[in-house]
Amino acid sequence: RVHGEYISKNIQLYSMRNGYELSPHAIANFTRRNMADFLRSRTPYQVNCVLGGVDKSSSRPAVYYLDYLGCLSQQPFAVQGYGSNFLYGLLDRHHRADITKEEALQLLNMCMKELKIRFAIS
Amino acid sequence: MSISEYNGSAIVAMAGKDCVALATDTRFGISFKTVSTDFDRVYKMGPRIYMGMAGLVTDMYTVSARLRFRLNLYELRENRPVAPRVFFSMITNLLYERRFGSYFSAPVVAALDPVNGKPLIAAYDCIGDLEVVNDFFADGTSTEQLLGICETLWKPNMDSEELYEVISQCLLNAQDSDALAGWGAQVYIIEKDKVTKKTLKARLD
Repeated sequence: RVHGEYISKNIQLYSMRNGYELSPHAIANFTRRNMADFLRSRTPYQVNCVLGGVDKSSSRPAVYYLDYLGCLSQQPFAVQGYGSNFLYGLLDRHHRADITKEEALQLLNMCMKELKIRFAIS
Repeated sequence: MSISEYNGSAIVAMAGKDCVALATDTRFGISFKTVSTDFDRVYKMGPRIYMGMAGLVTDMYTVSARLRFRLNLYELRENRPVAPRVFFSMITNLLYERRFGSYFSAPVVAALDPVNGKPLIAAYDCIGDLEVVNDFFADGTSTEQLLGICETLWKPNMDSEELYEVISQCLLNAQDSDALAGWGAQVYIIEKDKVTKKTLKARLD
């Protein structure tokens, strides 16, 4: 939670200082850089993230996978944690590049149901 | 598995006659889980200088960003693109700064000398030991497989068509024997007048 607050407050500060909001790509890279800088300090973050956003100017959505070491990867979909063992297969099967919002929500529901059935810790 | 095998990678650079090629796999994984299958490991650092980075992905990003920063400052001050050998020294310096507490990522640079058009391949370890080779170099989790097949297939003075064939076959077959690398390949062929990038389909497993 601390890391999340740190990032979101810094993003707000940036837009206050510079007069424009950061794009998802910029925020993803900023967060990654932050994690990588702290990785070799005495207080590394142990946070795995999934970042998502829509770029205001181009209206392009982006999803990023960002792990606690600072490995960033833009993907069509991203999962973190033990659930990824179950969900990557499901998402690979059902996700398409031109998936609509309704289908995407249905797919997310499918994922949650899958976890409820197959994942012991829920 | 060691930290430099955490993400998995396969990089090979090969020299031909007045041309050089750099090929990488496109898998990004967390240990045995594959997260991305179209991951880019190659950075263009100059008109005829391409750098591929093997090893831990977070350090790949950090090192390439820091290198890009130094390169940009150099080019702004000098008002010209960097010469390959100067760039090679830049990398050595950056990596050796972390001699005790190193980055877990090592670059492989393929370049063409702007003066005489000869191929240059710079091989590093993670603390910046530079070796300029004139045949081939391989790095990543598939190093042993790559070195074996490169030793067999490489011959001097190949033209760019043959070089492309040889480097592609080397990478595709070597990464098939490696669980942590694969899922496709990107091949850059760097010649005096053009740079060609080809994306290859590999065994998807």
